Amino acid sequence: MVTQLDQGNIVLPGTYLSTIEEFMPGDGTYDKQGLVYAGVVGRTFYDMINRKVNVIGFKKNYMQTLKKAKSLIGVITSVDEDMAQVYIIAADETRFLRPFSGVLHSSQVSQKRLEQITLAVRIGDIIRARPLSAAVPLPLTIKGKEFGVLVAHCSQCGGIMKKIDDEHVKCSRCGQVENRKLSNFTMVKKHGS
Amino acid sequence: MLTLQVQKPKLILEDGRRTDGRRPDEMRPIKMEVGILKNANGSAIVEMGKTKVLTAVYGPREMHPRHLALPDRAVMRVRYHMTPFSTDDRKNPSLSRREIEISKVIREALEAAVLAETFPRTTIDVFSEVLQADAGTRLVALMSASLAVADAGIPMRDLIAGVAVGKADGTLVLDLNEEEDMWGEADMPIAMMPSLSQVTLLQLNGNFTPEEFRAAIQLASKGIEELYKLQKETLTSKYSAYKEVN
Repeated sequence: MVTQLDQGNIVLPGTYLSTIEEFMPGDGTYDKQGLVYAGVVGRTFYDMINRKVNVIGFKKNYMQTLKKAKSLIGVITSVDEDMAQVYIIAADETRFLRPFSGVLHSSQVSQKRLEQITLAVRIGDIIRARPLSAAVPLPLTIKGKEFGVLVAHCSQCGGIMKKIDDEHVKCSRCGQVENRKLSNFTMVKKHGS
Repeated sequence: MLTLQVQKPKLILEDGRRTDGRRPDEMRPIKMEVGILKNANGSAIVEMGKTKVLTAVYGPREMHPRHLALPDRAVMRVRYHMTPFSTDDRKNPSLSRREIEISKVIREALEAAVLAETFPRTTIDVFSEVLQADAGTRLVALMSASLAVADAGIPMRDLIAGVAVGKADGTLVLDLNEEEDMWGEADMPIAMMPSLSQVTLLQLNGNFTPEEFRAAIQLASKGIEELYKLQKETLTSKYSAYKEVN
């Protein structure tokens, strides 16, 4: 029987939680022969409404971070006719020790149809994207105002591109004008610029 | 040239104690710590007498090369390695035949515990470095690996605790030391998932009678219970400081 005292207990992998008839196995748990055990180090959370037992881990692993991620930061490593490969280096507040790979399809750039993906992103661009699922390689989308290119480099000379309007950027060194799907997300600090 | 005539020493002394003064069913002093490396997702160090093993866990992360990834679960990669300064003579730092085999044995023991199905198409990398070797390194490595995996927030069925039992001068002894390992009649490392009472690693060097074998398992499980308690204490004491999680 689960009592009020069991709620919020610190449990370790292998700790018995309940029978499967009492509570279904939720996050951070597993069942074995009709019994539910904790799978991670964390605190118990008995969900009385859904009759589910969860263990909320103290430490999140990368796959949990990716599943919950609202935005990702990545670098474009290569572009195809309709696809771009992305190296994802961070998710929300987490910086990965090693990048995950992601793919961006031209249909996921905007509501409008795009002939070529190079009209939205190019190699070396740093983008802010949203994951469509947590399966590696992560399918990405940059639909939406806050998603898109954060930093762009000139494909002619490699100089930093500056924004002219919502869809165009201009090279600060050679003056080349290119198309980009820009993000309105700027990394402005509290007192900085 | 000086030649040393090395003879088998007396392993059980007159008072029934062992060469290092322990009783036959006594383990060496143990120390454990988790979360000691900043750059790893999980880490642990375990000391058992003079044996010290440091383990770092990375992942779950993307598998490279990608064709080695499995569609239904994470791939475990384990490296057991002895540092050149871990033994009396310098140890060649390249992986020896023995280290490759122990890596495999530890990997298989860990695979039984880790819920790898949770992370398809990824890999979990485990690196165990033996800092100081003095018998029983594979089990100390396995214990530190299981603690490090738990520290990384990777779901697992249970923690793994393990200890060796052996026979020295006809007596069953728990947690062999270097001499008993070398001169004893049997050496049997056992690792278990105590909450589920399942054995994940069992090897046997030498020979036991069926009765001795049963007694050896009994003796080992007694030691494992003790180690498991310590592992749990190590993890809870680290995390009880954590107030709330998002």
